[in-house]
Amino acid sequence: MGDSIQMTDVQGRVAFITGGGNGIGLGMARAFARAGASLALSDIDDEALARAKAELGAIAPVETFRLDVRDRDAYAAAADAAEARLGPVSLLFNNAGVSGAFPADRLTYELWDWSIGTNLGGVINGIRTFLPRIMERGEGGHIVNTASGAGLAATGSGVLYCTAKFGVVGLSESMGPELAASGVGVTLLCPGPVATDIVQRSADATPLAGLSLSAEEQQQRAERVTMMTAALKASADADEVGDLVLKAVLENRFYVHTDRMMEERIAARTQALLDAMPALEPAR
Amino acid sequence: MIDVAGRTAFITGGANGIGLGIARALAGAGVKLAITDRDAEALARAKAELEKTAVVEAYELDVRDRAAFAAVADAAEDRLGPVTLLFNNAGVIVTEAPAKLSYELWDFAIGINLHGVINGIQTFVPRMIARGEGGHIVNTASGSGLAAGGSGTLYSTAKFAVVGMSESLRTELASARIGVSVLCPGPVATGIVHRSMEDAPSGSVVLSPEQEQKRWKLREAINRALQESKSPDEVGEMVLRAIHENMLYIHTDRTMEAAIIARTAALLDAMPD
Repeated sequence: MGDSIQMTDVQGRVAFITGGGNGIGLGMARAFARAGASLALSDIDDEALARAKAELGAIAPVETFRLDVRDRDAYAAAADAAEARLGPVSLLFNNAGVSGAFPADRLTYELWDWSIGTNLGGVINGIRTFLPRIMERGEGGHIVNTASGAGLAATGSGVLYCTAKFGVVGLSESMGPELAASGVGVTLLCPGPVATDIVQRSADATPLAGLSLSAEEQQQRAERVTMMTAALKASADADEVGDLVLKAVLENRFYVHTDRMMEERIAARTQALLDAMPALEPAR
Repeated sequence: MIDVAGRTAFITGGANGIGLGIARALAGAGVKLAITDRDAEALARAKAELEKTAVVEAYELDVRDRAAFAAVADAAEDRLGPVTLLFNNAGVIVTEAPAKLSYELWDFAIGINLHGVINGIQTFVPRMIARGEGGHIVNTASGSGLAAGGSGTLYSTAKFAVVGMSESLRTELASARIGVSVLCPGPVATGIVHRSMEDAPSGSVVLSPEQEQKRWKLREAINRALQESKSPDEVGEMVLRAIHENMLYIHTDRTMEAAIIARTAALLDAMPD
């Protein structure tokens, strides 16, 4: 899948970036603005959108949209408005995501719907909204899906996150070869730790209804958020990740890792998968 | 290692194909069975067959319906006792090209193949943990959940997600003595291709007669190839063995070997220096 089929020139194209007001989304927005793309940024965070527009408006045409990627009608409306103002979108960044790990016996449907709906459903909604338009126009383009190292092998990120991120990986790996012939590239971003506020922002947005945590567990949860936020602060810079993604789009490369964090886990998982295979049987 | 004899199993998609193969293997091992399916006729057939060797209850259930799932779980446990063996097995296959996928098709395939599994987990795992009697969960994914190729984007999306869920749950449920296995079948002689086609919403996809015929031929070819593949009963026996040995991965053949190796090489090659 690493074969370069066709280079996507970014200059003059329109990029639609979900979760574009903060973190990795903003890092990608900066990199693509510098490379000459126009930007449609969506986020659920109005203030962050205003900040991003104020910053990036100086170097690129920027439009911002308050959008919860779970809302299909709102997604279609934002897409229409973005294309009316900036022109056809041919660079799509399905990036909006939320994290959060909860005990397996305490999961609620609200938590499942929030995590799967945003992390996987949001990507599906992006594909459903823009891919038919991109294909019909025949001008090529590129789709970047933000998954996670936790989409490649289970980590301590919790069942919800692993489920959704593995789904994004499978979607991307299947879609990549299917779209190659039409000049639409696919890049799968699997970040390790990056210096963003995802943990705190996700904690603030978590639907806690029905999640019965004891005082002690609530304390532990708060401590975990603080600890992980501090750990992420010392990690890779979101702007560097944006540059990595830009390079991958220009070179039409499929996988983007931000570090080698998952190397051993991936290798061990593959070994376990192969070890579990039945012995070769004689021809039937 | 858990002893399955005397336990109660809940099997979605249990009236046909791999689900029925699992039901037969469990019945032979002394397990009480709650089988669910959307196919009422197949349910009646399966019940008539299985009750010769085991205690069986059968329920019509669309695994996407959360309220119905909870109600069927209650009814099954009333009749058969606490469920400690859970088989999230119901699945459909849709191979439409990504640009032609309507929301109806996404919802159909992700709804059954992924949310059906989520609904099973969400319904039974809290009960299993609260009772403290351990147990085992088998989620039916696919070889297409390990490396993409040939089965379409909808299918890979959902099946990868089921694999990730299973790997992650296994670690989290170990302390409750609940084992988790993920079944990643290669080709198996089932009717999944035709049954999925009959059930899938046609949505907004309009095909010319030639396209219709091409698609029909492709499906017939896939279906024929499946019929020459491993039997669901063999798969059922493999699943039973995997439960006894608490194995995470259950492959039915080595079909995916080369694709898994190639994918891992691509993943590792892409890592920064």
